[in-house]
Amino acid sequence: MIAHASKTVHVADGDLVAAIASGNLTSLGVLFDRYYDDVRRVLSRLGIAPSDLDDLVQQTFLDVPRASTRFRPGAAVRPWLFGLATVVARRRRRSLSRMFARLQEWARQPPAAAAPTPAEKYEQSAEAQRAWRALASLAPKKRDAFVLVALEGLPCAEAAEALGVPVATIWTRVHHARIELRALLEERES
Amino acid sequence: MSSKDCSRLWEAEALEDGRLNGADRASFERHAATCDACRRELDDLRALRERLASVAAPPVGELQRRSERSRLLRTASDGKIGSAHGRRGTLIFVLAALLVVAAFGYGRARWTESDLPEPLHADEQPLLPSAPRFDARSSSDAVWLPQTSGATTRVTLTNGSVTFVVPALAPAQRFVVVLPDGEIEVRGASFTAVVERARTVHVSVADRVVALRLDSGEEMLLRTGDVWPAPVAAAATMPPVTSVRPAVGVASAPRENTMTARPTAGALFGEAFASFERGAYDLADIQFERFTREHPDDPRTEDAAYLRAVARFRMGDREGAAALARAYLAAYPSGLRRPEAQRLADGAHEAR
Repeated sequence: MIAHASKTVHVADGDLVAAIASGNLTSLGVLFDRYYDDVRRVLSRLGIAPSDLDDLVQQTFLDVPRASTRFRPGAAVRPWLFGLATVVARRRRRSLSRMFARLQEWARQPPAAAAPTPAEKYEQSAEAQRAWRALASLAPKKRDAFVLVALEGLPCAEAAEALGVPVATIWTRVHHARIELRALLEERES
Repeated sequence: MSSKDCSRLWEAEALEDGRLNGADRASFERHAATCDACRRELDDLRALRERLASVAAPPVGELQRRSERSRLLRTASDGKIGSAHGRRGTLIFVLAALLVVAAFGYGRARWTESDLPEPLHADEQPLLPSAPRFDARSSSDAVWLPQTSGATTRVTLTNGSVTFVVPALAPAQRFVVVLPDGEIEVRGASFTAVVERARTVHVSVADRVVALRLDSGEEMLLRTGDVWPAPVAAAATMPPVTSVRPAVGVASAPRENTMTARPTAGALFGEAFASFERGAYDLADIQFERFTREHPDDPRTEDAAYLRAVARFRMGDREGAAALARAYLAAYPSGLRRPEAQRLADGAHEAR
């Protein structure tokens, strides 16, 4: 009977979200298994430092039960989760930017130069670090749009729904993000 | 040629973003085949994307993934779920609780410690007992809602199949599953309940004792391995709402129905191993233990003994893992897993 209770049936993403909305935590675990890597990568691309990554992945998934009651049935779950991740990342940046403003007065250290914690054992190549810093220095709205469309490959319409803006706004933001990114990367190379 | 030379240059970006479709796309692709500026722009756009896509998250191991998963579920069940569910859920719960109170009335005998056949960790007495924690695994169609209030956890099970693993409770704690037609209370147990069409159709106990109280009859105590309804011919299709058996009768009831029969050694081991593979180590530990107890002569008891130790270790219980590993070493002097078991017993094992 236990085997029956836990047999692995593939549940559609949308049904998982509906189950979470009705208070089913098991489904939250399944959703986590499916999208943990994606959410983690997106948050990193949205400019979240490696040391904050785990906490923000947690916050994104913890936002799912509340947000799930507003999930539009039939919508794609992946872009929706990415939308939640952008909100969590923005929240973090707001609280961080207040802290950094104070820190910078006497430390004069840009956020990106914060020393990596010992936990960050992985070796980012110099190239990836340059790219990360370029992404991190974009304005948040442009970065959100660019990451979802250009890097995560979401169709513009899905990105628009995830970020809650008109699709034409996505086009413009991605376009301006590209102009800035090109300039930033060239500037760092020269 | 400068990259500003072509009037169709903007279409390169539209193509890159997947905004050009059908005839527009074909037309631009034909154009780009002959236009240097547009081709270069397309290459530039792709190079920029690939360069920035090198930004990924630091790699993460299986153990960290699991611990992040349990951290999420722990936090979510610690209270976020209540607020997340909003007032409607609370209202439904209050209504359900009222119905349960109305249905059961005050005449029902309370299940007290003295009713229990096994002493249950009476020494665990936290100063301020919180609501009991539990693990649950549900079928995809299950509809259920945990609520806590003081030292009591109530899970309203409306539909589907849910397996609960409830650790031994402190005296003041209560764990109750509210069913459409009754309730289940445990003082620490591992069990499965199935509700279909607003009726309880199945309860089985994998470990310890479960008190099942249905509106239609007296309280029944189900023990490890017991299945309700006891499989008499018609019971599989229709729950015996009129003729519930007293607890003593259930344990000795014949089991021939395949649905509710005592599982074979293979099935038990398979279930336990599936739980282990899934990362449900607490459940796997219980299931392996049951397998060993019920089939002590099966050759797989050696694997079960070793896997229990690994399961303990992965749950973070190093002392429990070391004790089980020592038991393994003692029981299987020429066991296949001795080197690993020795490391576990020494507490120096790095779980893979």
